[in-house]
Amino acid sequence: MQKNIRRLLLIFLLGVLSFTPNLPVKFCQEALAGPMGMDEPSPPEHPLTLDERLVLQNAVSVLWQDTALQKPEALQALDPTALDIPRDIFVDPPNDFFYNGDDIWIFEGMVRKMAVQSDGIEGISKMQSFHMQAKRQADGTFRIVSIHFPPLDR
Amino acid sequence: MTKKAIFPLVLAILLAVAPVQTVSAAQPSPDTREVLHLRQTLFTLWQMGFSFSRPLDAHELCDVTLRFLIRNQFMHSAAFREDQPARFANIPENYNVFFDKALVEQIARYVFNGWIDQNALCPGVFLGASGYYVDMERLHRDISINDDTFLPGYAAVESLQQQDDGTLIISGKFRRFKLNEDSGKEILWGAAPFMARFVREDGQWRLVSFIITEEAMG
Repeated sequence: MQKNIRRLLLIFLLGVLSFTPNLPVKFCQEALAGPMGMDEPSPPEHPLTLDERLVLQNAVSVLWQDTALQKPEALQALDPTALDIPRDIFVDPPNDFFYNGDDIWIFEGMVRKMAVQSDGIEGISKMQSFHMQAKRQADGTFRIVSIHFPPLDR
Repeated sequence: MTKKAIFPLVLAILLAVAPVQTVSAAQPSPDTREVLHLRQTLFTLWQMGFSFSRPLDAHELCDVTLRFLIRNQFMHSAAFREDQPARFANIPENYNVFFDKALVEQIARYVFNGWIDQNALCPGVFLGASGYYVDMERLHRDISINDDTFLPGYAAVESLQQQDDGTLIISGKFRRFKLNEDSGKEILWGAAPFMARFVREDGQWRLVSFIITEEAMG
């Protein structure tokens, strides 16, 4: 008896969901709206400059090689403009920045390391995707909020 | 009494510090942000296949400056008609992208060592009150973009030397990579050693020369 009631309730719920206008469209729109699945925030008053992007790109290259710097307390103290420039590590493509509101930018892409292979030919010896969040401070400088290097699918 | 004691002390400190500041202000070495910017400038020139083989005429300077801007920082500095219709009011429909006047002229000056002649603009470009309007379709028609343009690559700075006169010499190597379908690895697809010379003018680095020092590969 209870089983039948549960089944009836389930059928009723499915019916309501199926006949609600635009519900599937809303699900799709939310899934497509930006990296966090939310509506895209308004553009910032001061968009990132080329130099700011280059500095943040370089920070990814440095942090990739230094796991100690990836810890939250180390990131808190990090000045991205004061980092060295790694010679054979690079971020590409360079334009995947998303504004996420509250002066926070999300930066996603691929970081690569070039090395001479065992056969003597230069090539990419290591590559990894990254996901970084950086916040512009009141004084205009940037602080890196978080950085992750998820494993590559391929 | 205290004021009398402090004044000579402050004066002495100022006199001691002033000459040092003058010297360092005249020849400051580039910081990380500047090196990254110069490296990106050189890499863009390589991607464009640009060389300083001869002086540019007015049309060429306009053309190459806008192409550089589009390739180097299109998404950072361009304004689009669909985003800012007010800016494009009364501008012919075919002009759909806008660049700030100061930015365009800064690149002409500091990268290509020239001044944009407003009476000799290249086809597909229109100068408004505050900047340059570009007919992207017209400009694109003449741009040869091959598959290699979008391959991952970078400029490795191998040496950075500042001369006594403040000139900055950067040398290194450009590389780009392509996925080898057989091995599944990205292998070197193009490379070129380079050397560039910059001088500092009005607080910015101006490119004086840029050469590929050996035969490029790829």
